[in-house]
Amino acid sequence: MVGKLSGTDKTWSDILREPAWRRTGKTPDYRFSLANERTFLAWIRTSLALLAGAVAVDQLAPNIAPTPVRVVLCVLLALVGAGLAALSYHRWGQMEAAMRNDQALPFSRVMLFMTIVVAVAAFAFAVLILVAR
Amino acid sequence: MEVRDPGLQPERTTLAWRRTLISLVVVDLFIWRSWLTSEPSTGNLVAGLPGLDYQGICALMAALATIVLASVVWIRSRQLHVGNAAASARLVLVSTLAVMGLGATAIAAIALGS
Repeated sequence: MVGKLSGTDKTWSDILREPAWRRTGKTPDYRFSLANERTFLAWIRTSLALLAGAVAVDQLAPNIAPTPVRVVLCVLLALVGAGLAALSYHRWGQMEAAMRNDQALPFSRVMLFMTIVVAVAAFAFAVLILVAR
Repeated sequence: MEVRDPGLQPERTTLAWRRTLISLVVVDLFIWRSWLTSEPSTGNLVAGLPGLDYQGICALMAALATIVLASVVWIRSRQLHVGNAAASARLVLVSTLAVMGLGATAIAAIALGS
């Protein structure tokens, strides 16, 4: 488990240890920690919903668009889903670091970005459904 | 009578973890369906294991992600049953990586299915 990662001087045990920000400031009230954890899980579920949507459209609606267009749309949706999972972890860490150091919770454009992604995807699929008939 | 935790925080958190696992199983079902409905391939990657083509590997990867997340949910539920300590960064990171792995698997399944 202590092999070096290629390209970095970090070892696997460094990665798996608690990150440095976890040792700063004071431990937040457990209610806030658990609320932060649930927010993380809500974002993870959003990410899973995007993945499910991508695979479901590909599987259940093969005639919605010519195959290359359909595959590109579904892969894009799945990529946003996978990226959102990474972003949820990042935000979970940022939020707890801010709580530990009594700072304001960081503002982020994730919500605006997700609103736009979902709206554009819904519009695109609505147009495709209309055209496919 | 002292109200120990009016917000039932640990219970809500446990339920949130379980909901997440159920959402992951939904994605699994579609990936497994993609494998089951794909054209049977003649060339096996491993001799003597019919069905283990690239789609079969996607199905296995999805199962692996499910096992990883289920273990995390099991560990975290046990922790929350006895106390209300915050999650370790390791558990949160492992569940994130499981979902990202499932995302990569979903992309592979979409690309292979066409």
